[in-house]
Amino acid sequence: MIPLLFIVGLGILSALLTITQRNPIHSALFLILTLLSVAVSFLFLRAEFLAMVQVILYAGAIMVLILFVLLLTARDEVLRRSLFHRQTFVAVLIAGALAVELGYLLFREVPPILTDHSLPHLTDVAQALFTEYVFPFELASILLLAALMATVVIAKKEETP
Amino acid sequence: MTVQTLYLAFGAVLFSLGVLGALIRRNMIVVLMSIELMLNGVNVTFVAFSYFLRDVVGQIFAIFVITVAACEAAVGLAILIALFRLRPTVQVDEMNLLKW
Repeated sequence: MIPLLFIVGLGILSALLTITQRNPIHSALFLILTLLSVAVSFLFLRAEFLAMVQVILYAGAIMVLILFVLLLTARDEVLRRSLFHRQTFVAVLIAGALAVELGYLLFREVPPILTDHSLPHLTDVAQALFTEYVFPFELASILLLAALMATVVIAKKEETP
Repeated sequence: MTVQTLYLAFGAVLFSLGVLGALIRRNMIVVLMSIELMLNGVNVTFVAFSYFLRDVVGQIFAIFVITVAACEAAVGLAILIALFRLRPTVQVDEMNLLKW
């Protein structure tokens, strides 16, 4: 329980720092810390494969992409201006209402779940993914291909005739 | 406080912080990062239920969520690059070409 509390606290603290840092590069680094603590909490839940995917794909690939684009866009202009949007007050109200709703659901409705099944192993995940969920799996591959082509088409520099 | 409640609270707090960040920040890249935070909150909840219900479906959904998150980040950043070429800013309140 104590290591888990530490990891959850670290994740929440770095998530809070992600959305309040002035320099977006610091935001990205704190987001990496959040993603890594989520990966560790997956390890506590015995989802080793997802923890590895989280580290390699999220903290690796996606964050490298985000940092790359951060360095491509102007930085000094960002540092001078105000950090928050004009609608901040309304936004805090909306997010606070959402948090209160989620907390209400959490502490009122969820009884402890008791099952006598055995813990799912990675082979069970693979079995289900490639038999029962093979159609969504193939759809995901088509989605990845479409996103790949869309990225190239959108970000390509238009040639002036 | 049980372990189950702790995990669900972790997911809920990550999601709420993601919503807050996506609404209040002016830098579009930080908004995209907040969306990643929201997706991670959902993933924590999925995997926690997968563990406590002893069901693999939660983990499979989490894999699909990570796939969609990768696509979303790639396409979003490509749009940002295209927009930055047109008008050199990353502040969302200055991207108002389509606003009436």
